[in-house]
Amino acid sequence: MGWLHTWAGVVLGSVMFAMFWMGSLSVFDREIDRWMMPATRLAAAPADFSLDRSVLPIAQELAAASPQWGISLPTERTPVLRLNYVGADKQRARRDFDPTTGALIADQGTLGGTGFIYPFHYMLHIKWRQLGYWIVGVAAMAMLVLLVSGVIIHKKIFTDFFLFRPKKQLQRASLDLHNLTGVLGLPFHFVMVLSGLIIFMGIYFPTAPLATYADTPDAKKAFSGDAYGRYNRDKANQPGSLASLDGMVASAEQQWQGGRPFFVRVINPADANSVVEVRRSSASDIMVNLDQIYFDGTTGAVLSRFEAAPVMTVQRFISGLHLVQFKHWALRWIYFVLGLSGCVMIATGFIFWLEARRASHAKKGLKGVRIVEALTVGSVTGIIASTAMFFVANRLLPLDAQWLGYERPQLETGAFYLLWLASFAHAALRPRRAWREQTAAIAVLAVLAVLLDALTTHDHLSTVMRGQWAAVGMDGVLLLAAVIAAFAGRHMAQRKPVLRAVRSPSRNPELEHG
Amino acid sequence: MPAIQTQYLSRASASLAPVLGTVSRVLLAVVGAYFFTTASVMLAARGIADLGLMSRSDAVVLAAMLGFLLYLGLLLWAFAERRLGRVAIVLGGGSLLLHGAATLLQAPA
Repeated sequence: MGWLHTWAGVVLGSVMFAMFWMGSLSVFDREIDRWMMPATRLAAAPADFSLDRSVLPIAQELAAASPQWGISLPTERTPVLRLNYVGADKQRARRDFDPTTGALIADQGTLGGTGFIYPFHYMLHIKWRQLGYWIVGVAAMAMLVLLVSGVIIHKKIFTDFFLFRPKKQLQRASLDLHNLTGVLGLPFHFVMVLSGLIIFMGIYFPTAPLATYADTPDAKKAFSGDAYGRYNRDKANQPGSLASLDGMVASAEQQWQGGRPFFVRVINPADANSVVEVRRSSASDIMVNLDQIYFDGTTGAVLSRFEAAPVMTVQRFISGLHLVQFKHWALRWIYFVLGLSGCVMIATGFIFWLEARRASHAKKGLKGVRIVEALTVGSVTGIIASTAMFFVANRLLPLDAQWLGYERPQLETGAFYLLWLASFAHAALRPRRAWREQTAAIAVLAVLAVLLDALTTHDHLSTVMRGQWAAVGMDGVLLLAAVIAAFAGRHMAQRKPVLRAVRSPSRNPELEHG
Repeated sequence: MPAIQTQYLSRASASLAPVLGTVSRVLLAVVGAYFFTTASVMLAARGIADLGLMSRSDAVVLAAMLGFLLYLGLLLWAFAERRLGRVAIVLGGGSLLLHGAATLLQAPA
């Protein structure tokens, strides 16, 4: 199992680090959204918020020609009203509103945490034939193999757990840290990776329903309707007007015994056969439910009601463990820290591999260590620095930025990808200094992001006063990241055997031969 | 001259054999075990549904969720089993047989 653990780790570690890094950040994707979209740092929506009064006029004006429109209701973490519709130009459109005033919020020109960081976590933004999902899936299966084989390697798992020798040379210390984070996080990492795969079971096992639904014309569609719920009815092609949406929401809340809706969709809004779909929020449960109620849009009568079947409910519970949609700030921070412990586990695994082979590869003239080290530096410090660059670009670019035909969101992600590519090149060209220089870059970029946030969002102190903790927390984490990066850079810089030998030649004579 | 050739060949095959063995083991594990799993998931879902233990969508979901664990077990076994031939027979032959059965079941009744 030793070689399997080593090589699966070295070959797929880069993808795994990207998944763990982006996944850890995704725990706070909406808070990152608030930071990157300053105009959405709003006070909580009023309690007497009305769909009929606040949303309907906006939707009827903007989405008049749209065959359907949907509204995401404001929540504590996303305090805006988000309207999805098909515009007059036949393009899907998305607009955010202030739920208190009904005012349109200017497009913030960013994909933010929910649009860039979160999808990166599960599909790497490689859309072609779902290749991104498959790369992530392969890496996730490899991670499960690594976790199991890692336990088998460490027969002395309990004693290894209490072993940490930070003052020893980097190779020992990184192995200890690898074991510590690996064992401590093992249950979390195993559950997270497995549940991540289970969320996308339809992508990874696309053929699963084929034998069971052989008697239906489209087995996958029939299965997904049964499992995830679906209701539709044909248009009447007669004009109709909508009954009270607030009334339907109240009816849904009653049927869910207090469960709150988070999304309302109106299908064929101007037709006599209009349908209003209300979906239930998961904020108070671990499970991400599939509860949905369909109302007759003109009368408000219930047409259809869906709840997940028993096994699907288990699948939704497992998905919920992964997706952390429930409201629990302490657990959210624990997810964040345990996710980052996975990043440490992967990075120290790489460093141990490198340090264990550095001397022998140099002696034999092998290039393996140099190649893997460049890959590691770019995958670890490179992606972290690029993420900080993404935040810096977000605060530097004006709202109407455009360049060479690229819109503002593409310019932000372009800054991310360019710096990431550059970090691999940098690590290949300056192998001795890459760790230190890239950790320094992380520290500088993180501090710069905080300074730019303070400069460009003028109401910085007043957001603190209003209790807008998302942006404040993000600034705090960025500053903490800068400190950790600076510390890690110094620690990595001390690893050079030459330096150690010069410092204490008499006490460590064996190092001169190593 | 023939002596040199044999020596050369044997050295080449000596260095090539473990590489080929590893490559085929990795392919059998990753690809073979995957197809073994997808066919098993299809058959298990149909079996559970036909037994009437639960609704058929639930049968598919149950089989698919367990499929990830089956795949993990097969992956670990493919690397732990010393005899490559046995891995090839079980994962290669097994997935062909299972897929044959699953294809038969997909024919509309």
